[in-house]
Amino acid sequence: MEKVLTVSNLKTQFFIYEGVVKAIDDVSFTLRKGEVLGIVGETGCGKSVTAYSITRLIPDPPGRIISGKIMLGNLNLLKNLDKEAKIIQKKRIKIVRNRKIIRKNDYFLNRIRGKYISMIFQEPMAALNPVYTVEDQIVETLFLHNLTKMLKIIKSSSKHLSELVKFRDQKEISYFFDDDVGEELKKIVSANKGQESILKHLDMLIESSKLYLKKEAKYEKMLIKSIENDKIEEKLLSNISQEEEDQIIKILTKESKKINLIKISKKLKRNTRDPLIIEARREALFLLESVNIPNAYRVLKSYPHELSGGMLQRVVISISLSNNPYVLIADEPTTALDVTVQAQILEILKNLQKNNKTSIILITHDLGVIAEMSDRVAVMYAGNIVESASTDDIFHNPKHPYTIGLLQSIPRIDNPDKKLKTVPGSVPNLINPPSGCRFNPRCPLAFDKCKLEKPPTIEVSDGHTVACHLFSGKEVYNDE
Amino acid sequence: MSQSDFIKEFHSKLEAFKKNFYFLTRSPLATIGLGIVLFYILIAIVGPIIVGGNPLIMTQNLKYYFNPQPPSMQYPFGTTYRGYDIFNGVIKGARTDIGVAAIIVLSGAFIGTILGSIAGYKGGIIGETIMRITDIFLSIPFIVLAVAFLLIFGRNLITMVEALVIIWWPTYTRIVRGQVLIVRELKYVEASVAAGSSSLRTVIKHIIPNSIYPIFVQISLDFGNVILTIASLFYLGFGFAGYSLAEWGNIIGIAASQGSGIQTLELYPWTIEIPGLVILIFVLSLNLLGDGLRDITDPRLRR
Amino acid sequence: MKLYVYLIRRLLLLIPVIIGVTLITFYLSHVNIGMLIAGYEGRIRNAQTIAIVKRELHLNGPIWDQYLYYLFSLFTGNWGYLSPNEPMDALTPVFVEFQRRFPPTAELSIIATILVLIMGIPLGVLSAVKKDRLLDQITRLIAMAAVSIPVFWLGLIILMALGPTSPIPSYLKLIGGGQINFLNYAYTSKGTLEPWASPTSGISKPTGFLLIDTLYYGDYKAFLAALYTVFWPALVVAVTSFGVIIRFLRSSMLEVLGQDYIRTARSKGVPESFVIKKHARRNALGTTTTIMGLFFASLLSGVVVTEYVFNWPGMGEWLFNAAANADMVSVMATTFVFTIVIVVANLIVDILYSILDPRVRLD
Repeated sequence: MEKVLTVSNLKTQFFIYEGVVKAIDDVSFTLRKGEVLGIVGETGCGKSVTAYSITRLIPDPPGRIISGKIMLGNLNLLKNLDKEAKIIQKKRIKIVRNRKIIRKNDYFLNRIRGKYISMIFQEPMAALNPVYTVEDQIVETLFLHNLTKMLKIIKSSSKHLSELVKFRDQKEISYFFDDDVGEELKKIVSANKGQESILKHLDMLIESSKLYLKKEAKYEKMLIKSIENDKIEEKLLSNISQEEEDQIIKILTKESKKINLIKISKKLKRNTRDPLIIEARREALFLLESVNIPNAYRVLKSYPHELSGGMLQRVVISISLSNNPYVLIADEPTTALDVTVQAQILEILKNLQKNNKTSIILITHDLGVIAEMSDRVAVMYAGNIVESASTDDIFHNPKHPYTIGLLQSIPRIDNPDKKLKTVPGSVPNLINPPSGCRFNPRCPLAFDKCKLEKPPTIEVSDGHTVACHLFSGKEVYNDE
Repeated sequence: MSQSDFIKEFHSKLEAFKKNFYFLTRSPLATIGLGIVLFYILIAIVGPIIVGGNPLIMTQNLKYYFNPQPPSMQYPFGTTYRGYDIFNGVIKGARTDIGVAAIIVLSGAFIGTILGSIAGYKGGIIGETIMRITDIFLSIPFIVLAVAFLLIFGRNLITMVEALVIIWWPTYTRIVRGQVLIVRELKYVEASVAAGSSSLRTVIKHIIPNSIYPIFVQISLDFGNVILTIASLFYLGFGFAGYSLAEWGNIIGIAASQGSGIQTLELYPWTIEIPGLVILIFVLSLNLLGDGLRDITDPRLRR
Repeated sequence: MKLYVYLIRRLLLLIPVIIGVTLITFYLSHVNIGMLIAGYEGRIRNAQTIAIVKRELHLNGPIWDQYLYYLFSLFTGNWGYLSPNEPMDALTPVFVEFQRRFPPTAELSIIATILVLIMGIPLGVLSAVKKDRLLDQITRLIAMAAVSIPVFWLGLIILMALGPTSPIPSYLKLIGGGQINFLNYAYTSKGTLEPWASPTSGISKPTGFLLIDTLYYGDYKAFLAALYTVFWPALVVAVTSFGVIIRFLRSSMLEVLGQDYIRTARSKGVPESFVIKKHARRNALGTTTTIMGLFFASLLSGVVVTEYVFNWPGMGEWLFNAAANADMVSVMATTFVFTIVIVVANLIVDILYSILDPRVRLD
């Protein structure tokens, strides 16, 4: 299977008053297409920081990605990292930032975020802006990344306006056209959400078509520009030279400034004379329906505080799906929800993987969820990946002492022992982490080398790697 | 609590204080503010003794009775109408202003804290009523209330203090009540109540210490506002004890009322500019200090 | 809940507050009966007049009767009379004087508020976004310095800067016959405002608002001159008040920027400028409305003192002159009006908040 995301030697640190928190200390892993990678570990082990590092959402003071490579296809998300900031070590560590470059990178990253890599977070109740409706927030994403698709649908549906009206009157879609709107209609019908929903979709398609026809020239131009931009963006993810890459980033930066300012600010006014907004709302409706939200139309018009946690999490997932990302990073998505809701959410994620071939990074401390959902597992401890293998291997054949300790500490009903087993000790201070292997103070199998040298990552069997001196002498795992 | 418990707690509080002080000094503005405030307080305490004479009355030089004299060696800040020595007035005024303001702010804080604790802890009708009264008082512009009060009850030191205390207690009530509501929900307070500690004890032991910091911040900010208000009242002619009282606003008031305000400024700018600057610098320093305190005690602003 | 239900509830809550205010003004005005009576008959004091006034004000009756009468006269506009300049002059009702005095104060306050918002909101947002950087430190220093300036002092300095002896070019000045080059309209050397409409010029002032009246007559030159005249006292008020807004907005924005939904917006790829303008700012402004009441109270304090310094013919000047003359009635009238204005302003702000933030309507 092809690799979708490759993280190599990632180092992220936080510069606070008390010192430098070495949160992520040389982390590497690979994510393949259509695979669910579970990242598991205790609180504070750095799993969330890893996720934020990938999307570069680390708050810049005080955090900073120090080094590493994050390859999305052929694109290194961490290019220009050293040009962004210089870390000077004098009496106190001082960071000199080149804000121009940071800003340029930011523009560029904003094209990636939400489109190729999406994230969902832990607290669904707090994840959405309370002063805007659900609809507004979904529409925002669609405008950011889905302009071309929407324009195409409107254009093609305007060509079939009379037929759409006929469908509406007949209250059924008797056949499909061979173009964009036809595909849409196919999707709507096969989603099978009831006649009311189909009628709503038709209504909105008709309305947006009518409005489109009024200003056809303008939208035609918009479509051409948008397709152009898309092509440029696509190039970024393929094999191109360094100069070309820089050139493209420059163009995209300019374009994103134009597009975003114009489109999104227009959307801010409740402008229902804009066919794009109507189409965006229709798509939002479809997205909500596809995560099994009942009464989707009413939910769209609601405010976040009017909805329950499970509902909101589904809304958030639908937002992250809106652009069919390659990678979905889910940071403890079910921790704040009850078990029944948890099952529903996980099912939605599983379907995503199956139907869209979306790769998922699932971050959690819940081993049960890992067992159920992941194809591969990476176990993290104190900023390092200590073991990584297929789910089967991790559970039936754990190698690293920490992994073994974790698995042993799961309470079992059939356990004859009266005492619960734990991993003794607590998570280390990451400002002054233990020398050598960070797990050595708590490791029952530690020996001298563990305090002195950081263990290399060793492949013990096919696809199964461990970072532990117990396995030294076998081949060192390489990333390529 | 036993002897050793007390010492332990004292030490930990001292550590916390030292840490906070250290953080305060890391902000250059706050340190400057602290320094200047301490300087002013020093002047207020020892200044009048050094300068001599009645600490409440500015010295006059009747030779220059009417025309203000510009700053010179003999009169570092010059004189104003009626021969009052501005420097003399400023030094003695420090004690007057700071002293009176201290009484007002501390009284207001005290009353406000008590009322706020009651309102927050007891809640119910009493709490609601107290908060409504607070709202009403906060709806009257400060100067207006002060002027009305002074008009009715006469103008002297006592009435001025009373008027200003009435203006300033509501803010503390609001703060303390807010804190009480928050702290009341904290788990360890609930635990303490569940373990049988009486309400009064809960309040004193848990709620007040947690509310101290916002109160401190507010006190340092209010100090400045009180001084500004007192100065304004004197300037507007609502002060007391005639022209010779050493009070910063009074000095400006003399200058403004004797000439027609603008002409005085043009001819004798120092009579207004200097006392004004004195007030400005002090209040600014208080604000810098208060802001610095707020920054170090605000849990949201992690550093 | 629906917006209008929330509105009605808020309006109902207004009533006890207004009653509370009237109780306070009642107490204040009746505590010193001598002053009260003097105010009512314009200092004509002899036993007979006192008796008449006492009967009229129900002062012989029980306290609640006095209060009811007080309320009644308050709400029917019977606020007593001003002391006349000569014993034989006709008595001006206080309410009429109020009508004359209210517009200038309102005008000054509104312009000042606009200035505060224009200056304060962008600076507050900027200060939060560039936290701890140079711009932030400078802005905070400006805000604090502004709040530390005594209002009257700043007013005097500005007047001096605009006065005849200052080095500023004459077309910017206001005083001493210095002409604004398009209109003979200025502060006189005594510092009083010469209105362009006066009994002799035959132009009456329909609303009492300089800016509106000049437009009403289509006199654009006078409008500009009026704008210029209002600007300076309004600036004095604005400068001494906007520090509070900056400080509060900054801390509000910082809190908002730490929220989860900001993180969500960023992870969607929303450009940073939009994160701030669309997502953060609106939430931060919402919480700012909670301190608006206090803000107005201090703004009006500033307005009142500024009026005195600039001889602006509004309620502030009225208040101080009345207090200097022991004119109880006027003082009480102005106090009452100021308080009611703030209470109403609070209500408006609450309504604005409930529009901005739909969560508030739930309570």
